Amino acid sequence: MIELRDIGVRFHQAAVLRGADLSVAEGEAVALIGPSGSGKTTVLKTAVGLIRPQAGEVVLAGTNLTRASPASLARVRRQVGMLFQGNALFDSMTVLENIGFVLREVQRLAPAEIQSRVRQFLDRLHLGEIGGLYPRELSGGMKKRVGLARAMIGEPRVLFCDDPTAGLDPITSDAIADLILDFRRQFKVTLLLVSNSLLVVKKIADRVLLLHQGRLLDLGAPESLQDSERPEVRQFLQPEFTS
Amino acid sequence: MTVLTRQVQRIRGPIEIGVMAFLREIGAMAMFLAATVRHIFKAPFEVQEMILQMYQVGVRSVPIVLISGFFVGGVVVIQFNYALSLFGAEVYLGGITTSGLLREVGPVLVAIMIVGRVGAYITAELATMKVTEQVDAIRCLGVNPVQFLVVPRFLAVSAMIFMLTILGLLVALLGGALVGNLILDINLSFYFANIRKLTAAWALFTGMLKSILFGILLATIACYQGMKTEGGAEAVGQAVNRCLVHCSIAVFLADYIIASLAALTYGLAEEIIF
Amino acid sequence: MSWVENKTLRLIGRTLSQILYLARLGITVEGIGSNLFRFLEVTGGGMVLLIQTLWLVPRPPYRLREILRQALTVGWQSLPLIVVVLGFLGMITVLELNFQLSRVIHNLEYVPGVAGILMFREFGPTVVAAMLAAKVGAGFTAEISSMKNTEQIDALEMLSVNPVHYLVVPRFIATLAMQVALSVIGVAVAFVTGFLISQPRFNFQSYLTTMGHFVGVEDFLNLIAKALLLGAVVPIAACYYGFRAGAGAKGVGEATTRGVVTSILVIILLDFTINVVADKILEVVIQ
Repeated sequence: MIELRDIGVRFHQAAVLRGADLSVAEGEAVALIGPSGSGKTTVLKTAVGLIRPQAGEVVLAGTNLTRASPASLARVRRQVGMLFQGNALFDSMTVLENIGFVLREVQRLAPAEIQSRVRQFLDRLHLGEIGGLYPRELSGGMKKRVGLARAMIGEPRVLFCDDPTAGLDPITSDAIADLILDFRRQFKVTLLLVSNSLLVVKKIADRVLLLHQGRLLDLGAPESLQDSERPEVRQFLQPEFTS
Repeated sequence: MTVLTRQVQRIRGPIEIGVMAFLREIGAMAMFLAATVRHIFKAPFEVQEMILQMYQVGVRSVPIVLISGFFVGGVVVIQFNYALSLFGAEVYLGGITTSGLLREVGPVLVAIMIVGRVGAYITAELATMKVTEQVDAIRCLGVNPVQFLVVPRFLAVSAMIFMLTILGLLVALLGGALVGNLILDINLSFYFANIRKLTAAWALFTGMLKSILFGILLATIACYQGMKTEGGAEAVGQAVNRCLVHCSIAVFLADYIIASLAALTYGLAEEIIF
Repeated sequence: MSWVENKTLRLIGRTLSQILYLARLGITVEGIGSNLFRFLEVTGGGMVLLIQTLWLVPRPPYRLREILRQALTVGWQSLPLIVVVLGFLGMITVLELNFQLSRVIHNLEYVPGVAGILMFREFGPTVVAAMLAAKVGAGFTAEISSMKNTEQIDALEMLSVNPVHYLVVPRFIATLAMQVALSVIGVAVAFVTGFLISQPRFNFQSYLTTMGHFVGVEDFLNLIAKALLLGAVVPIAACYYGFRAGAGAKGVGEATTRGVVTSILVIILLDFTINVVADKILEVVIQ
């Protein structure tokens, strides 16, 4: 479903990714871990075509993004949902307009239809009557749920989550992880997740990758993470164990 | 009649509030200016900071002032040529263009060009420092923020607008003569002949006076808007926007006041002489 | 070596060395080269955005409500500014022309007419465009650059909506329409204030007559044409700098400065070009 082959990305002469490979099968859930600043978000944005790599190939849902025209890129993205790190909710729109954005701008549904589908989604996310509020009036956890709802309402086949529990308290983090898991089961969505929270990773992912010096190392199932003998993994996990 | 009175009553409230707010703003700005001027003469003098600001506001604006000055000179000569041709008075083109550029168009143009830079540069910088509590930190270290931040910027902006105006005027005069010569096919000696006749030192003085006044106004408004910002990143944007708008209005208002004063003195002089 | 200890002298020395250092920065070959490169990059980028926008304007979906909302915001926000500034400008023009024309043609009866010509042909459209750059353009840049910083532009792309089509096209159309409307309003305000300032010499009837002598339909068309051309500058420059803003409050501030300054500069250059071309066409027509 997602294929990255030998990806190289540099920003202002500094190489962020050099020869990163990644392959996610349909229906699989893969987590990406790594120290902050190592380029996890870059991997995610390259995989959805927001960043064009200087080297290598990206294949998403059967389309080669490195050679895709704007029109086919747009077609692929209709099958993709993305939850941004800072949620990237449109602050000039209400929650209802934010979630219904794709239905209105891309699928061009009637307002009544949009309304009912968004309400259905809000209920499922236990958000209740917040449709008329603006993003700045919401708490961190609520914003994250709205962002998730916006990513999922188009019923995508692939979901990308950029650190979905950053800055949230443990209870809210757990609830968000439950929601993602719930969506995964219900829509059979393929998942690529960036997170440094081992709890979330263990709960959601089938497989873990570590981003180390611009390359992706396959670490296998999350359960085997703590027994790993590889030095870069031990180095990354050490603080978690002592605390 | 009662309907009218009721309408007047209804409008009076908001207008009164608006006028009061306007006066309060002017008063606060005057107090701010007074505080700044008082601190100018107190040691320690932040010379390095002032030079840095002069570089940021002044030196880096030189290319813009050169380009815009040249082309505005060209625009003015083309328009005046058209206007004078209606009376068959093209002979006076050089004199009128030079005088108009020195007295009016030059100073206003440079001020408006600098508004964009100053507003966004000085106001955004001070406002960011304010909302990220850096100004409070300076105060806690026992340093006066007006002296440390405002005075060097105030002096730098006032001085640089004056110098940039001189530069802009020179280029605009050059632009006027060259465009007149190259595009309108006006003989240069013809163009220069009546400059002396129609441009008195008084015109230069008016222009300089305007540029000094504009400099003080823009510096005060930019620093004042920056220092009174409260809130978050959004407030910084609003402060910049307010600075741009207030500066534009201040420039044209001050220009009008000086123009009418000049007209008054000119009228008086005329009466005395003739 | 007592002078080294002298505080004032040391300060002056340090100041001079700083001035020299800063002055040197601007005139190195590298400095000029990088400035030239940046100029070309910005010109190219701006042109690309303009072409993209023009290409997308006639294409569906037409976001009429968004265009209307933007037009109302632009118009309503900048109306007070335009009225005040053009009001003063009207009076300044009359005062200045009183002074200038009294020395040349010794007849002040033509002043309102000449003032009208200058307002219609030159000051009306350019000053309104410059004011829109300061008021509206700065707002566009700040809005779009903060959207970029919070990944909202990326989100638009992920939701398969073209950011240029969604953000730039409505602002472009709205600003263009409002530029024309505000130019007409501004010139009308300047007309009224110009009448007020030339009060003892003219009554309304004679003021209108002189005006009618000089100002014709072609001057009005000139105003509209210039407003349309100059009006395109502000939204394109503002949005362009918004899209390429750096991170944080500093990035937003810098983008806003550049947007406003570039807009006004391009307005002046474009205005000059229009004037020269119009002058040449006039010459050909007369011949």
